[in-house]
Amino acid sequence: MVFEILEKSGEIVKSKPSVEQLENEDFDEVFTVVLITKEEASSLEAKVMKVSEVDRVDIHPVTGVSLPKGQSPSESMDDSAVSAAPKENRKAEAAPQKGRRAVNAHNANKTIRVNIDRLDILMNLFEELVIDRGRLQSIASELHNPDLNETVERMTRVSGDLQNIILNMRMIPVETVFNRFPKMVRQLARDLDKKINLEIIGAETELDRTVIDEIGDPLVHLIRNALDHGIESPAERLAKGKPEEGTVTLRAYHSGNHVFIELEDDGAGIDKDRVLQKALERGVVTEEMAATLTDRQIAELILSSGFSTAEKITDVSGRGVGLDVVKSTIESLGGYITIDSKEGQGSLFQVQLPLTLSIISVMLVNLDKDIYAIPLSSIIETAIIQTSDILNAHNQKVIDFRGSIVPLVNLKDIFEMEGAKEEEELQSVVIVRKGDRMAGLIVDSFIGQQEIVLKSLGNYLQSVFAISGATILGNGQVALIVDCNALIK
Amino acid sequence: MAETASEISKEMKVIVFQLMDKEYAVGVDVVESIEKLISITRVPKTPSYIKGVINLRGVVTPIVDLRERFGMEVKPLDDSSRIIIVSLEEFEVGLIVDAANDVIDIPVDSIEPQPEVVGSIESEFISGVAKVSKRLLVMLNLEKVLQPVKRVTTDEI
Repeated sequence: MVFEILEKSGEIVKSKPSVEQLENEDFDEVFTVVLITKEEASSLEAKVMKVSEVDRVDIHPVTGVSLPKGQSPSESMDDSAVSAAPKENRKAEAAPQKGRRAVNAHNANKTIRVNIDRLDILMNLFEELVIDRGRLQSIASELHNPDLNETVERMTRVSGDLQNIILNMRMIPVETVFNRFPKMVRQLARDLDKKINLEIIGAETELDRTVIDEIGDPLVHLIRNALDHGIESPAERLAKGKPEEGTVTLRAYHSGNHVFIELEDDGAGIDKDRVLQKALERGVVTEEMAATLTDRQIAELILSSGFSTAEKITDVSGRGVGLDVVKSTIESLGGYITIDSKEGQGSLFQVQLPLTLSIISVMLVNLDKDIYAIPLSSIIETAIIQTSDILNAHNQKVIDFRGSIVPLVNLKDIFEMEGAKEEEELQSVVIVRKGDRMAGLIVDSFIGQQEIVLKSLGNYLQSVFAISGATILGNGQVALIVDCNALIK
Repeated sequence: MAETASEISKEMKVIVFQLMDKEYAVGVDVVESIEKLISITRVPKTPSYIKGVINLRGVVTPIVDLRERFGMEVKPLDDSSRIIIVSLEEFEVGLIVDAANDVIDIPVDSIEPQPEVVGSIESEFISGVAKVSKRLLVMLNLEKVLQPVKRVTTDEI
């Protein structure tokens, strides 16, 4: 509510706590907002006071000149913002009596807050409904009653729509996180006297709400890092024969059961010798270890705690805290971070995040009496091959698949099932890949393609081999999802 | 968990179920529901006492066969077999038992520490023995029975 008013009268530069925290009602009784406006302090105060929950408003005008330099990195950021925009800058401090309500009211017109657990329950119950729907369908097809058929058909359609809505309810585009980055990059570029162009690709990629909440801060860290350490100053860039303007690309996309968020810059890259030297100095690695490290492993040393190769500490980064926090946050989300860096050409930070809940497309296959699901994202294609085409290469069965040798894995053997049918003349094979390696999974038969909801096996069954989760099929049966990554060495 | 409940009230409600010829009990506070047998999806490469997972109202719930867990002889499931869904702090698990017999109140002081010899069952799974009229109820220590199953094979990538 307060924000709405302030946004009408000027541009909000900064708030403490952050906008996200305010929206989540994560603040005490006081919050502070820095606002660029042309309005008078008194009229602004009157406007804010109209919000019934606000107890007191303190407005302190700040100008670019009066702001003390170097209080904290963020303060000085405001400074430059103000000097760039020659307007009157005010700091409004509002102390809402019932801050919770104030924020709720602010969002009420567009969204409501729903506990994620409730959504889970809703979805579970809905799935039960879908199962009953299936039963109704089969009853209707037996009875041949036109009225019943029509009703069931309608119900099927409605519940299909409903299912989509429920499934998508938890997903929000990463846009919500990415949106604040262009502004941040502009400000930082100004602070650092660099020319930087931020490209955002795939902002519409949807991520589970729980992941979205957590991923913001690590990304901020990474971007600050790329801007400060990655991109060189315009003069340096010109000297190296690069365009004056540095490019930072933020990319998000789905791949398999994961979402990748990549941050690529065309800056200096990581100075491996210096990283290694620093790592030895700090005792992060020993001499013997250092000799065996790959380039990528060296680059990833910068993620260890207390590490900074920046020669001077700036307001923006280089304090040696940050990247290790990024790493631990991402790992706590069940994700990974990898770094690819070419010295002089730039670095690529790749964050891989799991979808805690996601709808994925799978191929359902029969194995013995059970149904298994293979994520479509890892499947290259399915094939039916003649048993006589299977070759033996060093105790490993392989096939010649479009010119490349693909090792065969009999899923029944892997899962210790009985009755691997060696005798059959034709075998159904699903060709899957992990990176650029492939494998052929022998299954009993294909069922078809389906969209399923990923479910975990729970805390009791922790990490079952080659099973990444489970799903519930239309008939109420549980199908296990094959983790192809574990099957390819 | 049984102990904490017993300190508050003089009597505790337990669910009595049968395995072989013995009667066992778990506190009613950890039991979510008792289900008839529904189809179980086998999970490969897990200990044999894990029968698989079921769809319990949209939640994938692992199922443990208590007979196998206790190393008793395996009996094919029949009409009286039940799945008792218990809910511990971190997870829900279904236990296959021969039959669910009763819900009774037992006086807390009737629970005694287990006698030295309890037969074939490993004693760590047992938190006590309750004698109610002529019935002997073995109180289960679910925390021990249901220790999470870690990765059972090491052949990771």
